[in-house]
Formats: sequence, C-alpha cells, structure tokens
Amino acid sequence: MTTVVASTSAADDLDRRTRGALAELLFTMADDEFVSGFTDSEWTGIAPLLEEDVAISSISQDELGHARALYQLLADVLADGRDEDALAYDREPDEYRHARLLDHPRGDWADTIARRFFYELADEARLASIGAGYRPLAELVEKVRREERYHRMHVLAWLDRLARGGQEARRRLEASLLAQGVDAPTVFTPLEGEAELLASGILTRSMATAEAAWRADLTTALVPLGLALPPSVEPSANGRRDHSEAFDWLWSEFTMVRRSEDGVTW
Amino acid sequence: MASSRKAASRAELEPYEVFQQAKEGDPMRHGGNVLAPDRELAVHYARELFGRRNESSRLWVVRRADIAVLEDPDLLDPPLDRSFKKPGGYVMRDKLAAARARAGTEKPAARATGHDRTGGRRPKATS
Repeated sequence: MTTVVASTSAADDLDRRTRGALAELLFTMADDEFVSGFTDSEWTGIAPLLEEDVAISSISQDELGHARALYQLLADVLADGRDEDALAYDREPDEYRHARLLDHPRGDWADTIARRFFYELADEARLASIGAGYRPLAELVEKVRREERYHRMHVLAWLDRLARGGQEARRRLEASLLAQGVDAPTVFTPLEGEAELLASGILTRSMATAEAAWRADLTTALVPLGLALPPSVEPSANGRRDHSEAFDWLWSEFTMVRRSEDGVTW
Repeated sequence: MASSRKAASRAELEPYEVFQQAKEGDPMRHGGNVLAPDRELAVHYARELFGRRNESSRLWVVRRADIAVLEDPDLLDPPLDRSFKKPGGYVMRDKLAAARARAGTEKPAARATGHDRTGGRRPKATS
C-alpha cells in the first residue's frame, strides 16, 4: 500500500508539467509490462514442454513484478489516492496505455516469441533512455535491467531455434514476425510530454532516437538468421490507444477477481 | 522434472543434471535434472527450476551422457569380507587431540581456507 498524502515524495520537487509528463511515461512503461506479463502467463500449464512452462511463467511473473514497482512509483507521482492495485485493475480497457504490439493475443509459440522478441528489445532501448532526472525511477530501472537481461537471452535463444528449427518452425516464425512487425514500433509512440522529460533529464533521448537504437539491435539479431526487418512506419499518436478485442478479453480475465467484490484483497 | 508434453519432441530432448551451491563456500549438491534440447536451454531451464527464488549462488549443468558412471558391483560391492578396510574399532579422536596438544595446533576449520569455494573449477566471472 502506498500512502500518498503525508509522505514527502521526490515527485513534489517536480514542476506540474514535468510531473504530468512523468505520469504519462510511467503509465506506458507499467501498462506494457503488466499486459505483456498477463499475456505470457496464458502459457502456464500448456507451454511446449514442462521446463519451458516454468521458464515462461517465471518470466511473466518478473514482468508483473516490474509493473507493480512502476505502478507504485506512479501512485506517488499521481498522488490521487489510488494505490498500485487500483492503478492496475480499476481502469476501463480504453484507459490502458500499453503499446498496440502488446494487444496481440498469446497465439502460438511463434507468435509469443515474435512479440516478446520485438518487445524485449524495445523495452531495453527504452530503459537505456531513462536518465537520472527522477531518482526513484532511475534506481528502479537499474534493478529491472539486470532481470531483463535474462529475458533477452531467453527470447533470442528461441528466435534462433525457431529460425533454424526446420520448415514448419521457420514458416510460423516468419508469419508471426510479419503480422506483428507492423505494430512493433508502437512501443516508441511519441509521448505528449517528451520535451519536459528530456529537459528534466528523466529521459536522455527521444522515443525516435530510442527507436533507431532498437532497429540497430533488431538488425543484429535478424540479419544473421536471414529474417526480414519490420517495416518503418510513420509513428502514430494512437499507437497506445484503440486496443484490440483480444485485449478486452484479457482485461476481463485479469480484472475478474478484483471486480467480483468491492475492495477484495488476496 | 524430466517429462515432456509430446512424445514427438521427447526424442529431441536430453537430460541434464543440475548441481547447485546455495551460497558462496558451500559444496555443490545435486539438485535434480532438466530435459532440454541443447546446452544453452538446459542452462536457462536450470536457472528457472533451481535458481528463480534466489536459492542458488552457482549452478553446474552437465549433460547426463557426459557423466562417467561407475556402478559395477564387482568394483563397488564385491561379495567378500572387507570389514578390515573399515576404520571401525580404531578410535582416532583422543590420539589426534593428544597429537595436536603436543604440536600446539588448533583443530582445522570445517572449510579449508584456500579452497576455491566451488568444489572445483571456478567459472570465469561474468559481468
């Protein structure tokens, strides 16, 4: 539980516009991790083999843990009485600010690896863009990056195996990369408050610059496997809005317990 | 833990034995095993099955086929009286204590200093 009223918060040192911009950034980061974690948890019990079941379930728990820590920071910045659970569970589907890439449902294993591949590398490019401007975020990001390193190792190992694992695996992987590649750059949807975030040192580079770094990382991973890069698309202001029906379903799943009774805890 | 979801994939998976060290300086103990298609994923799965709850400071992951096994009963358990090879009936403790007193030395610590604390080779430090 986060108490907001009495405590002195690092967020109080920020001017109003920067504070709003920081809240916007935290919503995007937290919602990305939260939705990604819940989607991947859909593999629990049915992953391709038992060991992978434990691995993907553990990774999705990691993402939910990152989301929780980010929602806690957000609760401090918003200071509107909502705690991390309220932020995670008490919003309508159209209020979530995750990237459209993460609207794609679990799908088959190739869909999951393609989505996770695009997202994990994009997340790293974004985390590498967080500066020291807001100390609580900088400190959290340092810890999160140590855990995300393993997530990238895991997804790159699987990208390699699907790409070289025979016709069927490669065909499915190529189809999944193609279907999700169009939405992959939505992780870098420009933020309304980007100028304030850059001026205050919360961000050290723009989303557009982070996207360029991400594309370089994609090239390093995809070219040796003979796989195509996703198309360059004009960034859309709606990259984190207009969510899919698949997300509506996921939302109804992950809010089910919370909605079953007012103020329910576990 | 060794099981797989599909009979078709079972043939491509191999067992790897996992040894874990709970904390720096402890001996490596057998933790269990994982099935994996190759060494890299075996290490990933060992990490998730034996390290995700901060219960290990080091893991050794060994392909079971690479382990030299000795289980020949002629070598390990021959049917002859070997009781004379056991130190039973010969109490060392008092003699050792007397010898230490003469030499003025302490009883050595359970963990020898100078040991590399891994029970064997120390892996290269990673970033």
